[in-house]
Amino acid sequence: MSTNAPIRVALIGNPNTGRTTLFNQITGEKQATGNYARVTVSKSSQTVTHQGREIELIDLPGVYMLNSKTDEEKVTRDLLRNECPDIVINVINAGNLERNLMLTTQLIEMGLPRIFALNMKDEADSQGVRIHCDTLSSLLGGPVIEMVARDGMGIEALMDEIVRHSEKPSGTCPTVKIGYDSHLEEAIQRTSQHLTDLHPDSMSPEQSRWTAIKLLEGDTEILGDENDHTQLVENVQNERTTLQQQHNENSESLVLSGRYGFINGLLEEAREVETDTLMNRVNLTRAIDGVLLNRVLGLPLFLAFMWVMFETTFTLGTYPMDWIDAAVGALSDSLNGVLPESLFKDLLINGIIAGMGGTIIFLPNIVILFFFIALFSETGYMARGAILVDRMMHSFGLHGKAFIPMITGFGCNVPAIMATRTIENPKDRLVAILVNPFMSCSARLPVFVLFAGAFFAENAGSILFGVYMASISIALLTALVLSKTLIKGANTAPFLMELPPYRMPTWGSIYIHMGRSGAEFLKKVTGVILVGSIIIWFLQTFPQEIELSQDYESQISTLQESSENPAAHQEITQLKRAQEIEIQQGRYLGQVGDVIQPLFSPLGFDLNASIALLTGFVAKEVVVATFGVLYSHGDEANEESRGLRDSLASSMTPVTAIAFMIFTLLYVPCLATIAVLYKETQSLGWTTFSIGLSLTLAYTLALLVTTFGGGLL
Amino acid sequence: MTLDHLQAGNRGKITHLLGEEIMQIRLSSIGLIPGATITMDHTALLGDPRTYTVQGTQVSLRNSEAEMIEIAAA
Repeated sequence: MSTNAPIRVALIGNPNTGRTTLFNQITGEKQATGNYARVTVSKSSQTVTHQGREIELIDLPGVYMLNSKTDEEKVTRDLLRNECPDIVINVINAGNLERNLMLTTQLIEMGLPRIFALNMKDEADSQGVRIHCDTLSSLLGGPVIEMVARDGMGIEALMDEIVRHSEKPSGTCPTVKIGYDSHLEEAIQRTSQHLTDLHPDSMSPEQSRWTAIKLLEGDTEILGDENDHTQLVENVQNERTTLQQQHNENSESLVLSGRYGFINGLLEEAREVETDTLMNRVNLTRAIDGVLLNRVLGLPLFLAFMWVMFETTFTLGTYPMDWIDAAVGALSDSLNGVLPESLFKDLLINGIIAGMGGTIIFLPNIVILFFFIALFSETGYMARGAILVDRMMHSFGLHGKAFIPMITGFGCNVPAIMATRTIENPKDRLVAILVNPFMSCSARLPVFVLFAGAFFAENAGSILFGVYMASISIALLTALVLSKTLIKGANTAPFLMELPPYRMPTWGSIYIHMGRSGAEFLKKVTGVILVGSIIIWFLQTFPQEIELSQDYESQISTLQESSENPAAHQEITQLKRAQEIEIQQGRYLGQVGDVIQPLFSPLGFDLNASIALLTGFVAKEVVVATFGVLYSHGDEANEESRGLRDSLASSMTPVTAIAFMIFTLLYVPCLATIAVLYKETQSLGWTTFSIGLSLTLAYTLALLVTTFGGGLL
Repeated sequence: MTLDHLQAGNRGKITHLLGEEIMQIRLSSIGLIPGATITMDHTALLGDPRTYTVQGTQVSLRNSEAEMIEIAAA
């Protein structure tokens, strides 16, 4: 290895071992982590410097096996085989060696230089598990570093070890052999010899042994690689048949038993368990589950937690919202006083500040919502949620594992759709992808908070909860219909899932979730929303000269001079309004509105609402910004400055408001979601289908609400 | 008997994994292996899925998956 090239280090481990936490700690990155298996679906890499050496860290998806049966396994195995990292760091959860070491046995057989990061040592301690690192190290053929990645403990030692390891001459990695049943062992030797003969010089003894084991396991990918060697493939098939006959067990089980034998032997020597402490811990988790997974209480409690989440998102959010609102108002007022009248001033106050300010006030709501999502995921409750709803989801044609992407969809549909990769069956996955845009992402939250506050101030939290329940119901019903019609054969994948023990969440990890969501939102405010606000302001302000059908100004002034009586006053107001409407219609925005308004008028949406929806095609946060800009213009005419809420409240009925919320909830996902839909389905057809479905559903349901809602409210 | 018949709070010892190969691999990858002791913990509202403790780890299975696991009294 040249001393200048970066040391290429791959991080590999089971889900739920703190692999991504370790990666973040080393690189200072802020990737989201979670107490459930979903986070790393593709590899990511980052270069850091330690002791003057460049180290390229590659974070791989969490896997249990290296069989290339799921996407994650494929990504991981392909990288290990094709890109041969200089060192593999196997992250192991010290509290759960039995299961973690299964992956380790497969790494050992690949013969890659390795370091073992024995993570979550604190958890092992609290379980009463003592591990003899020296013994473990010699049995596994690589240094073992004890760590608590979450607190940064052991990171220095690990980095030192990486540099030390890279200075050793290559090929000094100790060979550790996992012993198998004697018949299987003989078959491995024969196949391995055959492989060495077929690929002279190109396969090391470890590689040919590994390939032989994979062939005997019936690994389709490796069998495909050797397809040209018909004799080899035929021999392998014969060996497999013979083994099956000799043992009444297939060769895969024989390989597994061999690995478990190795693991059990190893644990016998390298680990001591104080059974009392372990049982206390298991019992604690069980006791908590006794309540949270209680057959009767479980589901109501879950719903109650969700309700608390949305209620808090709204009520607690109003305080900081008011402060931001006041700050934005003060800024706007002071600028108004300082700047001379000009188009620029109008752009600044009625375009930029109205649009960005109108949106930014929802930052607290988004951060609070993410606080709860992070809290549920970090404590381990999210995985319990999947259990509570699996049966229900199952009967709607959705896989229980689709629950986590669905909840993630409350944050943002883009990572949520990517997170469906953990669902193995492609049809299950397609259903989960297609329903995800109906999960109300945080971009839609400002619209709901605004409308719920404007029209249903008394019950805003419950309305919010209701919107989210509607979102879930529509997603479920869509899944049901899809799985019964277009995507038959879904819902066959197994559910089995490991449950994380309940963990005390750390502030750090929750803070990362909240900070990330807040930063993303602010990025949008300064990006798409800024641009959107300027465009809308432009369309609403130009053309400046508009030919009016009658001379309103002179009529108004005549009336003002002539009399002071109430009738004339009323007439003036009417004239002013007519003039305002005619001016609005003359502007570019009015011209666009004329085209789309007829489409939306059956739903009861006025010009402003229609335009707001139109702009929301880009990103749904823009909807609120549009309202901000649209209503800021009219304000100048008014004596007192009215808030956006009041302007809205007087512009439509509560029924129309509900129809508007439903429409916003369902209509076309934003551009980013459409892009990820296409990327993940690899199908223009399904992408178009998703867009068409969302538009149809949004329109139909909003129309139903408008038509029949009046009778109910 | 198979695992789906194990009553809450009772223990069993896994003797065999049944069913397709991929299913067996999935089951064993989360620690459901012959020789392991398993306890039934909780049942969801409609009897499915259930949670179990096996070798100090909690896992969750649908009953259709638990049927794939032969157990003996322990």
